[in-house]
Amino acid sequence: MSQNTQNPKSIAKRWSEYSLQLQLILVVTAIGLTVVIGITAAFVLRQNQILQEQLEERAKTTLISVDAATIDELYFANVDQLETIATSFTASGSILVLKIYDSNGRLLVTTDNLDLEASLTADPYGAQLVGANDPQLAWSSDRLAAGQRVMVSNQILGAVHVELSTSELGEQLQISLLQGFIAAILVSIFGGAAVYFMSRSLTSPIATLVTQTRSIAQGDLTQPIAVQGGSVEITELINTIEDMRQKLREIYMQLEQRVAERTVELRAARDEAIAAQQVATENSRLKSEFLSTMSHELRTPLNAIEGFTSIMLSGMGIELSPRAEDMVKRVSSNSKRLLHLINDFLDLSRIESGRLELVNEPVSLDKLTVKWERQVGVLAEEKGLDFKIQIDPDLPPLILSDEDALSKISINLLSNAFKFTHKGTVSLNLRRSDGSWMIEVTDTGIGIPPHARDYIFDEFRQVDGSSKRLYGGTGLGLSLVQKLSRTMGGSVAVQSEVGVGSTFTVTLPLEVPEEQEQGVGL
Amino acid sequence: MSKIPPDLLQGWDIVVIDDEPDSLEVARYILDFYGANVSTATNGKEGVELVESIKPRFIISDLSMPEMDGWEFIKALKSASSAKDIPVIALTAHALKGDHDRAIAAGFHSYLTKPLTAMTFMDELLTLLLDIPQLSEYLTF
Repeated sequence: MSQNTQNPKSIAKRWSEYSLQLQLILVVTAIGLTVVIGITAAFVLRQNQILQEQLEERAKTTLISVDAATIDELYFANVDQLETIATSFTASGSILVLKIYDSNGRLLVTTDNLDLEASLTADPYGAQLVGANDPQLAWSSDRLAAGQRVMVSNQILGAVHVELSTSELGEQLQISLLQGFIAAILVSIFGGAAVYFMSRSLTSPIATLVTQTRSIAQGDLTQPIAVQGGSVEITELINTIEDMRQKLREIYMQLEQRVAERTVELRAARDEAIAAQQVATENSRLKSEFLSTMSHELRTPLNAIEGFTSIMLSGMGIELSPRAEDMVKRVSSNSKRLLHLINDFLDLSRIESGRLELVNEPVSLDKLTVKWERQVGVLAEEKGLDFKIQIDPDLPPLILSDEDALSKISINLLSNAFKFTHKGTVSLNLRRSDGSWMIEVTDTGIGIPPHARDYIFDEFRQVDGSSKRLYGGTGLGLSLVQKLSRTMGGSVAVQSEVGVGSTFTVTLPLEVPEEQEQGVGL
Repeated sequence: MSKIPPDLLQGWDIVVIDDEPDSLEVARYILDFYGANVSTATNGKEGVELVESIKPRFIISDLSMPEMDGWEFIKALKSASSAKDIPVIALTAHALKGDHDRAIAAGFHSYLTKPLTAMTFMDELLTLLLDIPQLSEYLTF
């Protein structure tokens, strides 16, 4: 563990990355080692203390023996005899050095040759010994020194000093430390091994579980979780995961079934929609084809009627009585009305079926108004009305629009205006207003009562039944004007006063051909 | 009407093709009135034969006809080298927008929509003739 403390942060960081087994081994071994080292240390310390006390006891006993042996000779200051005694004490080897001091603290005898020169001089240590009541003990690296004064009935005779070897003590400690070390190694090995085998029963089912749950994570819910649990907790965990897998599989299968059902439903709905679409397309095609055929079939007989009546009325070599001419004119007029109805009807059908294809081509408003004037001018002449055309000079000479649609709008509005005006003026104004422009048809006709303004744009509606009879017309014209205007991105509005006249205003977005665009703003 | 001189088409050979006898008669009468020599056919097949034998100045043809319709007729005509430059004007009751462009693309010079009055027919025809260089040179007024 000591090396771990060198870099605690990185260890802490990496700790969770270790396998459970390694974690267990490390923790248990560390605890075991700590305990063993602690016990060994305590034991060694205690033993050391005991040994020291024993040595001190021995030193004191030795001092007493030396005291007893030397007391007489000290009293008589018999140095030779003292030397003999000292030598005999140290002969056994258990006492390393023996020193004898006189009552002044001067060294009289020593078995240590090095100290010989110091004899006869006053020794502070000797003086200290002589002055002290109790035995003096001093530990050094390899020996224990003990000294004590020698007294006879309150008279200080001197002092004795012995030095005992501590080597025996050291040997004892070394043995104890070695024992502790061996114990620590054994604890590490056996403890680690025990934990290793124990933890295997914990981690190996977990490892298997990981492999099997991984296949669940990858979406394979068919493989049952089959692991022999190493403990109650692990077994419970495995069972729970297996339950979870079964539940998941159940839910998954239900989901799959539901998806399959929905897919079938959706597919059926899609097929139905496609079939409906095909039917609609086919219907639309048939309708379009029908319109085309109807148009052709209605125009063909009308062409004969128009052709022959116009020949009869054009002075192309056919002589008619006044009565006959009048009748032919009526035939011609009715045929025109029928043609008008057919045209309006076809246009409305085309708009409603979304088959009206508008073009956006340059249109000259000047040329267009001349054409319109040619078409409806005859109506003005017939009824003796003024027909005024005004084009706003701000309008560009060419605009982008659909000429046919513009013509239908204008001719319808103008025809209506002439139809409902008996005297006065019909005027056509083309005006510009910022991003849009207007076709404005004003008449001095009978006007439209307020209640009728809401429905005059409906199909087959005129102001009332009587006016229909009085004024004829298809009843489709205004409806067509409104639908065309809307299809072109515009609108139609009406202002009217009964007996004074009406103004129909068609507002359309103004688009200008590119090459002309720069000049328009000027 | 009065603007168009009655001898406008004096001496012109014109072929009119239409399966409707009444439509054919209207066109024949009007063109005849202005001096043209009008030959008629009731389908494209007859039309091709007629055109190759007469070599008219121009042709007026219907589009919807039995046996050989106007579309096949213009195709056959354009592949016949001797007659391929003769202008053909479509005169049809097909009034739908796409038909006009389709006809021009097929090789018709222009396209007139039935029904037509005598006046508008002549007005339109004159405008067209003035627009065709090889025919306008014959117009003498």
